[in-house]
Formats: sequence, structure tokens, C-alpha cells
Amino acid sequence: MPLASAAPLTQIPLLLDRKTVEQHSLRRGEPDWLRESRLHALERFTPESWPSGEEEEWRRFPLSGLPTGPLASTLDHLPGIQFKLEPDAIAAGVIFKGLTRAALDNPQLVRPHIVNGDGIPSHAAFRAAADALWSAGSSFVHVPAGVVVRQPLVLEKIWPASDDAMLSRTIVVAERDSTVTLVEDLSSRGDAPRIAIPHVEVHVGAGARVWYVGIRRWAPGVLDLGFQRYRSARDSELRSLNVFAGEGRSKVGLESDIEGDGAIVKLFGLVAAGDSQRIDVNSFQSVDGRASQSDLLYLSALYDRAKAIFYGKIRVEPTSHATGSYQECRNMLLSDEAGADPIPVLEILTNDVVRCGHGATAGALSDEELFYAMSRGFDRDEAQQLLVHGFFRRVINELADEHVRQRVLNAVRPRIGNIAEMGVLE
Amino acid sequence: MADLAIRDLHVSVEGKPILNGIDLAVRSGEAHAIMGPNGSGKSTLSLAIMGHPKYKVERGAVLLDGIDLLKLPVDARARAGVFLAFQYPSAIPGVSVANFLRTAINARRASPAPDGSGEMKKNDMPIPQFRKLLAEKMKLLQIDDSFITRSVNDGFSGGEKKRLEILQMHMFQPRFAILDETDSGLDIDALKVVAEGIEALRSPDVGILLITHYERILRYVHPDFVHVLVDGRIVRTGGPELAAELESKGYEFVREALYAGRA
Repeated sequence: MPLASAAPLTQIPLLLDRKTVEQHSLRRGEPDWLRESRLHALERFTPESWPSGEEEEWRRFPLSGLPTGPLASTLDHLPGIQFKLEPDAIAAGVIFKGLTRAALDNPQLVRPHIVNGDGIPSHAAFRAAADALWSAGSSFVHVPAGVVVRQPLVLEKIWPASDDAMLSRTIVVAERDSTVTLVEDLSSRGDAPRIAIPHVEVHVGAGARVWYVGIRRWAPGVLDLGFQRYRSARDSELRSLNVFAGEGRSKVGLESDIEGDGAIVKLFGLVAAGDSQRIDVNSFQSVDGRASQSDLLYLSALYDRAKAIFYGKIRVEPTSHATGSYQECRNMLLSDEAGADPIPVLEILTNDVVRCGHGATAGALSDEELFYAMSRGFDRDEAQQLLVHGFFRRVINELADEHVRQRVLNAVRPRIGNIAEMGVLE
Repeated sequence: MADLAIRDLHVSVEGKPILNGIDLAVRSGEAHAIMGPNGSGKSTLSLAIMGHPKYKVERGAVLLDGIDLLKLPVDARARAGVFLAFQYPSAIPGVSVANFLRTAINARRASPAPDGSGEMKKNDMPIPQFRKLLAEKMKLLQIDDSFITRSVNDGFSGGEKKRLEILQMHMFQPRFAILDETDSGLDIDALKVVAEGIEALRSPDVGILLITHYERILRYVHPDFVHVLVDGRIVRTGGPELAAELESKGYEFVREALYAGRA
């Protein structure tokens, strides 16, 4: 029975029905349990899940003019995508492959994680759409307990030109005391308006250490409605960096849940936007357990008429003890027409807190710094490039791996320039 | 050989006149000290020559070998060979001293492409050559290696900031160096190192304009000429002995003599 009978589809501008989802799964030759999980996701794609625009998270991002291309893409594999694993990681039992392949090869690992695409309500509809119709560009990482993957796992995901939606899932499972870095470099070709929903879930097991780096360099017509959820078990360390480069529009939701004592979460972001780009991020940091820490740092460099919106909430749970959390959002406005709207919200539901705070700024480059740099022989443009590089450096420095650093710099370079090939002399 | 000629320079800040007609000529090989009390316009002179946007030139010219610097953007003045050691250098967080120096040197070495496209043609200094130059200058100025990986002036002490200004001065090899109260806020050891750094720059090819409130630094840097700046005008010019006279009699003496003479 089509979902439409229970919930009139006319209220939802995206066409998504049971038959489409079933056919999508059958055509791809998926096992029954996987098809069931897609249909289960579809049930959550309801008019109630669709943003009304009244929500705090959606008030500043108009969801009008949705791209009309098909949500179900017949593209099953991204051309050129490679899942490269070092021999010792293979020997240690690390799984790193396309999600469909993993579902066929390792159902016992994939199945427990494919059904729980839960999370904050802001992206419920888009999460449901991605979970129902994900296709090319979906990936799965599983690191067994105690295994340290030394080399960063790097996925270059390049969607070819089309007006098909780009719906994907990434699931990372780092078991107890394991270590892994995953870098996803997302880009697309062509100028057609199209939707992207990269849905990322990262499970950080007890004592595990995970770095997730997501780079977005979408083509101009892309509307990105992605969502990420991080779940941190006790004594784990999670670091994530989202880089918003390229030319698309993004409305991305982030959720971090600490589910044990002594977990450390660091969420970083870099936004390098221009033209009339709008990058809107809403975050939710749930801080729980004893002596856990959750810190967020987002830096934006905004050119032309670009706008960065950041609505971030920290909730210090009533069951938590002696936690520390912070949210910092700094915006550099490099044009009179660029704008930023950082909105921090703290919900502290216990008195047992070591620290909890926020800092948000938006402003032009300092005239004194510009003058100082220019007095050394940099022209205005070079001086500006130098100051923006320096500004971003605070986050770039967090990346220990030089190749990953260079990849991030490559992504932002079209906007921020190439004056300073940082790192050469250090 | 080169000449820096300041002619009838009038400068205001936010509508308030600060410099009221400065005339001064500095030839390469010479060192001039400009001394004056607080508020006399010393820093205004240095920042106006360099082109700080807050300092409005109302009248006059600053000619470097006949070219009016005041018509050039700030960076072109620097590339023409003018260096200003700031009294209050800005911090540039996230940019290491080494990268700042290297990118600045490369920016200064670039020249307009011969095709007239307006693009700049690069002529980067090879990294080994840069490293060698930097090592030499750091040794000369007794600067610790850890300095170069720190962000420019970020969290630097007063003395460290001044040392970095002097290091930059040596790395960029200017034709004219203006030092704006480089001696202020330094203890005696730091003052000696900084003063030696200034003396080490002296050569027949370089002109120096040393702006200072105190005579103290002139025990280590020996100017050929001393000028006294009061109320936006140079009221006296003399040799090194003038500095000693100021030290013993104070600026009030000059001011009184000046206004007594007028009345």
C-alpha cells in the first residue's frame, strides 16, 4: 500500500513512494532485510517530518525552488571511486567498501547499523529520504576492536553530471579501542539543479579514536541537505571537520551524542563561500556522562554575497557530571555584502558543570592587520589571502596528516587563494 | 645612491592637523634621528610616509628619487624600498614568522608581467637560499630558532615584537628604513640587541630615519643628524650633540625657546 494514502504527498514537494523504493532495491539486487530497512525509512518520510520553515533551524534557509530531478538515481557506482586499504589493515579485518557490497558480504556488521537513522528533527525528512533511496557513493567502514588503521582512509566521491539526486549513506563503526581516520571528498559535475543528501553516521566505540573529515565541493546547482550523527561511547575521542567549499548551497544538520563517561568530542568546520552561496549549519551537541567534553569550532571566510548561518545548541544533560563544552563560531566578512548569522543556544540541565560557553563573532578584516601586511609588500589581495589563511590555520593545524591538510587546502584554495603554501617551512 | 625628500608635509588625523609642514632630506648612507615629546607627530610622520589610511596627507610630497611615494599604494611603497619598523606591530595569528617572511620576500620579488596583462610574474626565492638568508640574519640578531615557527607577533613580548621588526628589516633589505620608537618598552639588553641590529643595517646604500622619544638608544646608534619635532614641525636640526642637550634640558626647553622666539 503506498504511503500516499496515509499521508497526502501533496504536502511534500519531493516525490517518494513505496513502489519507487521497492523497485530501487529490487533493481539493485539487495537482500530482503535491506529492502525492509529502506521501506522502514520511508515510513518516516511524512508531512510532519518536513520542515515548516517555522523551526528555529529552518527560519533562515528558504526551502523553496527545490530541484525537481528524480530522487531515485539509477547510478549505482561513482566512476573512479576507490576503497584503498593497506595490507595490514586488510589482515586485521578492517572493512572498507561500498555500502551495498558490505551489505552483501558482511550483513552481520551492516544490519545492526542500517536501521537506526535516528537523530534531531531538523533533518528527519531528508534523513528518511536518504535512508530510503541511497545509492552511488554510499560507504561502510568497520574497524574491529583494538585495530589501529594508520593511513587515513580517503574516498573521492565525484558524482557525474545529471539532475538525479545524490542520496548516500556513510556508516563508520569503530569498535572498542580502535583508531581510524576517514576522509570523504564530495564533489559533483554539471550545472543542473539537484539535491544532495549525504547521511553520515559515526559510531565511536569505547576508547576508540576517530577522525572524520568531510569536504564538500558541490557544483553550483546543488542543494545539500545532509545530516551527520556522531555517537561517542565512554573514553572515546572523536574529531570531525566539515569543509564547505565549492559552489553549492548547504543546509546541514550535525548531531553529536555522548553516551558514556570521559568521551571527548571536537567538531570543527571551515566555510569558504562566495557568490550568492548560503551555508547553513545547525548543530546539536548532547553532553552526557562524567567528565566528558564536547567542543565545536566553526570558522567562515565569506566573499561576495555569501551568507553563513550557524544555529548551534549545546545541551548538558541532567544525568551528566563535571562536563566541559564550548561552541565557537567566527566569521570573517570579506565583502560588504557578505553576511553571517551565528546563533548559539546553551541548555544546561545540571549544576554539575565544569565549563559551558559560547563565542560568536562576525566582522571585516582588521584595517591595522591589512596595513601591516601591505607595509611588507603584499598587495591588498595578497594581504587578505594571508590573513584568511592564518585565520583558517587554527583548524587546519588540528589535522595531523599532511596529505589530509593539503586536500583541505586544495578545496578552499579557489576561494581563499594560494598565497601561502603553508607548512612548507615548518 | 638614493634620496628621500620630505617636502612641506601636512598631515591630519580625523580632521585634526598633526604635521604642519615637515621638510627633511635623507640620503642613503645617512642616519637621521627625529626626537620629540609625546604628541609631537613622530608616529604620524612614519605612518603617513608608509601610507596608513587613517593619516590624511593635506599637502606636500615624499619623494624617493623623485617619485612621489604618496601617490603609491602601501605595498608599492614597500616594494620601492621603504621599510617601517612599527611601534605597535600587528599580530597575524596562524601565519608563522617563516612563512610570513618567505611569502613577503616572494611578493616583493614579483614584477609586472612583460605582456602588460597586469598579472604579476613570480620570481620566488629558492627555499635553500631563503633558509640560508634567514639563518644568517637570525644569528646576527641573536634570535632563537623557536621564533620562526611561532605566529607573527601573536603572544610576543614587547621585546620579541621589536626583534621581529628588525629581523624583517634585515630580510627585506630596504633602501630607507624608518624605525618608529623601536626602543620603547625594551630593557637594556634587548635595547642593545635591537640597536646593534640597526647599526648592522647601516651601509652607503641605506638611509635610516630613527624616531625616538629618548636619547637612550642614541648611545648605541649614532645618527649623523638629529632633528627635533615639536607640534608637528621640525624646530631644530643639529648633530649628535643635540640629542645630549635634549636629554639634559628636556623638550620644554626647546618648546619655550621656540615660542619665545616667535613672540
